[in-house]
Amino acid sequence: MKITVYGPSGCSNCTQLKETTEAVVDRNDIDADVTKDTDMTKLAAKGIMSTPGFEIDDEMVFSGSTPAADELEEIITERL
Amino acid sequence: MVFDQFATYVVDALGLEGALRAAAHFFVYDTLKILAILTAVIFGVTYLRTYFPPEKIRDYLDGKTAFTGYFLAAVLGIVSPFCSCSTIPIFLGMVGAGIPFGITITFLAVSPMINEAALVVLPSVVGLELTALYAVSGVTIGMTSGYTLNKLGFDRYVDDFEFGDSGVDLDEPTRRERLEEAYVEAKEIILEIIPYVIIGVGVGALIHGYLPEQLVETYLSGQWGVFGAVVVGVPMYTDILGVIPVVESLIGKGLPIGTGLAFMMSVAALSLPQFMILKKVMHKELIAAYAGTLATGILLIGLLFNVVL
Repeated sequence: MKITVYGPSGCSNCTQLKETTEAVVDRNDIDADVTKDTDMTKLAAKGIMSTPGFEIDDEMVFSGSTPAADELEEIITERL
Repeated sequence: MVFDQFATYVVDALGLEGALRAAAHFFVYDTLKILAILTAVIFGVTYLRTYFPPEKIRDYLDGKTAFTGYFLAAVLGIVSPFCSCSTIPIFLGMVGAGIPFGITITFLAVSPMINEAALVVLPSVVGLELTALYAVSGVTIGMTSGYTLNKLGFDRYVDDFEFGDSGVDLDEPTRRERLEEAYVEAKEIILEIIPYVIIGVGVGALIHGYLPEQLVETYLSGQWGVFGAVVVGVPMYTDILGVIPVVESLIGKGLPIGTGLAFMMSVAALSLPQFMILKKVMHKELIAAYAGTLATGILLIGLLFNVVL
């Protein structure tokens, strides 16, 4: 699976979300490619106005919040 | 106030005298006061903000033109405690949704320039009068800049992009979810601001204890001081709550109010890191014009208040 965290540089929430995601992916041995995209026009193109944007396989799952690790784990594993 | 008593107790306990005592008292008192107010206000506003996600703000502004739209954008800019990095997606979302360009610029300008926590901290620091001036001039400058850039056709310098429809549902959160969201958001904002507050109060304390009034009198009291304040303030990046204690102690040493106001507003409204972020979505012509109109507005306000007050 392909996970993209959208957020501009300087947004600490967004960096943190990417790190949490990587930790969740590692812990559960999920075959996922986690990347961060700082291009905000891409986020706008998806109609999102609040950072971070969280996308799994080109589907925007949530935006504007940073869920806790266990919640994030649930979100990711249910899409496996 | 209890913070005042505590600060006095600390300097007494340390047996400090003279300038060091004044500086230490200023440091302890201002740090406690600003952090306490900051925590309360930010938490309160982030909770309220859960009722106004950017999508709703955009919808409020949609279809509004002329004065109402600009004014509403300025007011929404005041109450939005977004970090500077999140104003860009909001700006793009507004432009993409067809909100008039000038109105989005007003929102973009007022959002960092007028800060809701600053409005609560300022009355106890520089008085109600200066606080009101700060708010009114910020709104005026933001509205004028948005209007001017719109009239001059600067909307052509925003990067082209397709604005899509989000597939994300916006369900109404429960009270518990709102509180949680406010807690996470407030914590992040406060942790981000604390270093600036402490550095700002530190600089303010040094000025308060050690800077000779004569120096302010000689170099900063004339109208040229306003130009200096804007030139130094524009590229500088710090939180407005870090500037307040510096301006507070400078005004205490005889800095003219207009100069203090101009410094505070130019530091808050514009900065080099912000230009780098804007560069990603705007052409340099627009950034220059944006910075130019805001700086000119701040300069005029500073000069005016120095003459009038």
